[in-house]
Amino acid sequence: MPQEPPPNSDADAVLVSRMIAGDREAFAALFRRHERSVYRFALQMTGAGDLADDVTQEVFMALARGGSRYVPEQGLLSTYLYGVARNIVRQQERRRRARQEVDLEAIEVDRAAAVPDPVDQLTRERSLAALRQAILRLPPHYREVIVLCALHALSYDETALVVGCPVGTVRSRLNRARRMLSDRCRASLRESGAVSSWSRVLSGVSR
Amino acid sequence: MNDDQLDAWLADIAREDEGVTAPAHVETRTMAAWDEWRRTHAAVAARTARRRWVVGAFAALAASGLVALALPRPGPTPPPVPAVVAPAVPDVPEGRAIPNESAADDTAARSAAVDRILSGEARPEAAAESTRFIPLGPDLEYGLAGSFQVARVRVPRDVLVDLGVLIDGRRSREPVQADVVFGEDGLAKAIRLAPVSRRIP
Repeated sequence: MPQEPPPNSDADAVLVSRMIAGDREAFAALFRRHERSVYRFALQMTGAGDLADDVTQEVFMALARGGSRYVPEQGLLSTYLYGVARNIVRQQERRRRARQEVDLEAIEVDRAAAVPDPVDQLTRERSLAALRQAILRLPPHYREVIVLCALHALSYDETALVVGCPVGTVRSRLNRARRMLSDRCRASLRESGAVSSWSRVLSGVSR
Repeated sequence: MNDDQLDAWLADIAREDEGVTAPAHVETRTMAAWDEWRRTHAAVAARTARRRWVVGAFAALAASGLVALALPRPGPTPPPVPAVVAPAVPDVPEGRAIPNESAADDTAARSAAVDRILSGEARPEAAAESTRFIPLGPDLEYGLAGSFQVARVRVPRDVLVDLGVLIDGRRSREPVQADVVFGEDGLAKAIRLAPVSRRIP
C-alpha cells in the first residue's frame, strides 16, 4: 500500500504556533505540506473536484481559526486535518441531501458507463472506475474508513482518532464496507454479463 | 470478487491517486481567505481585548464597591457619602433613561474639558458639563430599573479611551477619580469623572 512519508510533526507544531501568531508564511507552508492528502481525501470522499476544492480551503481556514485546538501530543497534524476534512465533507453531504441535490443521475450515468458491452473494453481503468463509483456509493461512515485505511494507509488507531469512534468499530465498519464493495462489484459484473471477462482481468492483477 | 482482488484494486486506486494535488487556484483562494480573515480578526481581537479589560475592571470595581458598602463602619458615618450621592441623583433619576452620550459626538470637546478637570483648572460649571454620566451598556437605553447606588472609585486614565475620551498617552496609567453607578445586580451601569471640587482628599 503506498504511503506518503509522514511529515515532521515537530516542524508542524512549530509552524502551527507561528501561524497562530499570525505568520502568513507558516500558514502557507502548512498548506503546501498537507494540501495533497487533504485534497485527495476530499476528492475520494465526494467524487467531485469543485467540492474537493471547497473542502480543502475550508479545512485550512478551520486550521487558521482553530489552530490552538490542535494538540501535538494527541496525534499528527495530518490526522487532525483528516478529522476536520471528514467533518466538513459530512456537513456538505448533509446540506446537499437537505437540498435534494444528491447527484444520483451522474452516479447512474457513470455506473452505466462503467459497464461496458464488448468484453475487450473491460480494461483495468474501467474496473477501477467501477470500484471508485462503488466507493462513492457507500454510506459515509463506511466510505470514510475505506478511504482512510485502504487509500490513505492510516492505521486503525489513526482512523479511529479521525472518525471519533473505538478501534473495534473501525474494524467492523471496514469489514462491512469491504463486503459491500465486493457485493456491488459482483452485482455489476452479473448485470453486464461479463463475469468471466472480469474474472480474467482480475486474475491478471498482481497484489 | 475475493478479498485479494479487492485489495489489489484498492492499491491500484491509491497508486493512481498518489500524484493528485489540489489545483493551483485552491492555494490562491486559501491564501486570499487567510489575508481577509487576518484583517478582520486583528480588528476584532483588539476590540475584544479592550472590552474585556474594561468589563473586568468594572466588575472588580463593582465587587469592591459592594464590599465597601456592606462593611460595618466604626463611629459616626463620615459626611462625604451624601455629598457624592446627592449630585448624582438629578443626573440619573430612578426609572428614567440616562442620556446616551455617543463617544463620537464631542470627543474633542470632552477631552479638553476632562484635561482641564484633571489639571484642576476647570470651573465648577465646566466640570459639571463635562462630567455627566456615560452609560456603560446598551441596557441603559431603557433607564435604570429599581434602585441603584453611586460609588466613587479610582480608575486608570486609559479606561477613558473606551468611553470616547482622548487622553495624554504619557499619563495613561495615572488614576483618576470617577463616580460609578451600580445597579441592583451589582454591575456598573454608568460612569462619570469626579469633579475637582468634589474630590476625596
